[in-house]
Amino acid sequence: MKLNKFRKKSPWILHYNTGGCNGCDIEILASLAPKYDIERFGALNKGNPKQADILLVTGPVTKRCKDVLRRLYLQMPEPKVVVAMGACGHGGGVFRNFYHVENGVDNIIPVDVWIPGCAPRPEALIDGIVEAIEILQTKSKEKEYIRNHNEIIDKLGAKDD
Amino acid sequence: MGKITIPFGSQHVALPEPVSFLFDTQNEIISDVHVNLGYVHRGIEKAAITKFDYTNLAFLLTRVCGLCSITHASGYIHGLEYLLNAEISKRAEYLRMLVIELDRMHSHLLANGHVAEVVGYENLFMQTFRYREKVMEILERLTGNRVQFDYYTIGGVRRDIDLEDAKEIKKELLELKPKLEKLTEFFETDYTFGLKTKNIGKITKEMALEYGVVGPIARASGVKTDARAEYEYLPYNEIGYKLQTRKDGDVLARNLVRQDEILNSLEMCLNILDNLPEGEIKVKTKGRPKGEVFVRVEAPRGECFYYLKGNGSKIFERVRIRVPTYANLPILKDLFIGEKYSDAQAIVLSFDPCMSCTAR
Amino acid sequence: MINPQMEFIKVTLENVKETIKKWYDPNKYHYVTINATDTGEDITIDWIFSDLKEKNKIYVFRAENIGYKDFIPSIKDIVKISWLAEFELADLFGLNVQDAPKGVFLEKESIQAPLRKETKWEK
Repeated sequence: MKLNKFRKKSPWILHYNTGGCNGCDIEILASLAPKYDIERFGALNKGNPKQADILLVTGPVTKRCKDVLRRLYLQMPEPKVVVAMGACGHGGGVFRNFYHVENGVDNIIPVDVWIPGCAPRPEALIDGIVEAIEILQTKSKEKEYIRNHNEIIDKLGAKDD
Repeated sequence: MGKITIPFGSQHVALPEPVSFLFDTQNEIISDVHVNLGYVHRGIEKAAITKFDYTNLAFLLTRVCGLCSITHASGYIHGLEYLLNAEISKRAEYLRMLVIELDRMHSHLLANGHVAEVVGYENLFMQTFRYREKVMEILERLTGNRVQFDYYTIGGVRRDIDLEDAKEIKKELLELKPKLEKLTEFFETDYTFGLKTKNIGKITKEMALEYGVVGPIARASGVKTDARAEYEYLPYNEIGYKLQTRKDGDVLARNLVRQDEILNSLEMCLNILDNLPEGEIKVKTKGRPKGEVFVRVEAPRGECFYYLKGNGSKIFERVRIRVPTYANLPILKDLFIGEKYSDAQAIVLSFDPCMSCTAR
Repeated sequence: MINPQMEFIKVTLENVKETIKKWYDPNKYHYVTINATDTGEDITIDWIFSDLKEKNKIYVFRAENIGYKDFIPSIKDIVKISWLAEFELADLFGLNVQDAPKGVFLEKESIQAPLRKETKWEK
């Protein structure tokens, strides 16, 4: 099978905003548009977690988004890469320690690539996606399934999903 | 056929941000809607009265929303300057208007492009975004950043514009003008686009008044309401501001009102660049905010309302933000009933909803 | 500088509904929002309207010295869209508003009534 090759050529993105200010999300839209055109890396923004390779998360993760984010992560098939975009994904940013905020994406799910900035430029986003594609390849070369699956589920506290 | 419940959101490819609608449908016709709008609640109003003092608060409030960040800064800083009794220079006022109008242009182009995308017209989406990118370039040249400018500061603006920049920006705007006119014509006359947008999600003038609708949604139904005309916060009458209205009140009319406003904003930007007064861009302010004030400013989506109450200390006693989507959500909820499920996406996006503003 | 013309109209919780009903006309006035402020001991509630014709005009119906447990009447049969602001009062201030459920913004596990003075802002 040449699955790895195909994965490299067409990583599909699942985008979820977990309570950010919209600034990152419009930059994602801008990078789909003709000037930056993220499609030249084969990346498409798709709404289905079961078909996605890269989970692109923006925002500091509010209490209500927490469960949705966890479920989206678990629904994505292996191998998968998580990209946290923007300053508030990195530990909360300006919203750190607010009463309804969980202080960053990595408090909920493991993160592979961080894109800094408020808001990050589309070039930075493309850079992050390209790095995510590389990580996706090393992950798919490992060709092993998670052995401690139950442990991870326990740690995430998402047994009912 | 029995009742089928279809979820729309919180994660959906057509939605850039989380909001969840649960549609109860009967043969594709929507019979009931449940909205869950609290996904983005972060607690900004609480932090504004405990953690941030009045000099830093603008940085937090611009991050209420990335699309209309300049509106939140303007709402807050105009109120603060009233409480501090600070008179700002004419040049700073003109520069503020320039950035606000450019921000309106890019926000409206994004909304219109998004509607084109969800009705299945990918090409029009790409065209709209291509022109939007030009506006973003101008904004970056002017303020130094693409999305979160933090251009407003207490007593003026943060960066001045030099002659070379002004000349270059004017040239780019003049190049952009015929393209935007063509785009307006396209939205207005295109047959395929009209099939999915004409007579869909219709709001009559009576309905708009009864529900207290604001912004382009009200103006598309023929209601003459605009905070720029009703509340004097910047000298809009000097630069050729005109109130734009349409009559039909459907998805297409909302798009066309936005297009008209884009062209009017472009006209205003050119006038500002031609008649930019000389002077300082920033004045020093004294004292601490005391008293209370109600501010209304016009965001791209409609009227944005600020209530500030200071007690003479560094930290405000109350900061209340009422954003345009907050006023438009009730009618959106009632509008779905009786429409087809396949039109729901176009109706939602023609309202240009901003949930991170609404839930704060 | 802005020049708001604020007109304050004193009301109580008992007569606010009648006063607004007599005065409100959707063709003349625009409903803005309902706002509450915690003074530390009690709550002040403002029903805010603006004028569609007159420039800079803002009308504020103000009810002062409201206890934390007082029953607040809803104006949703006069102004159709006031329910959203009323739900917010019930949620973020923990007030007893007519027909308003809790949980529009807050989750069950998060702190309740966050906008009251006594509530700490941090977790």
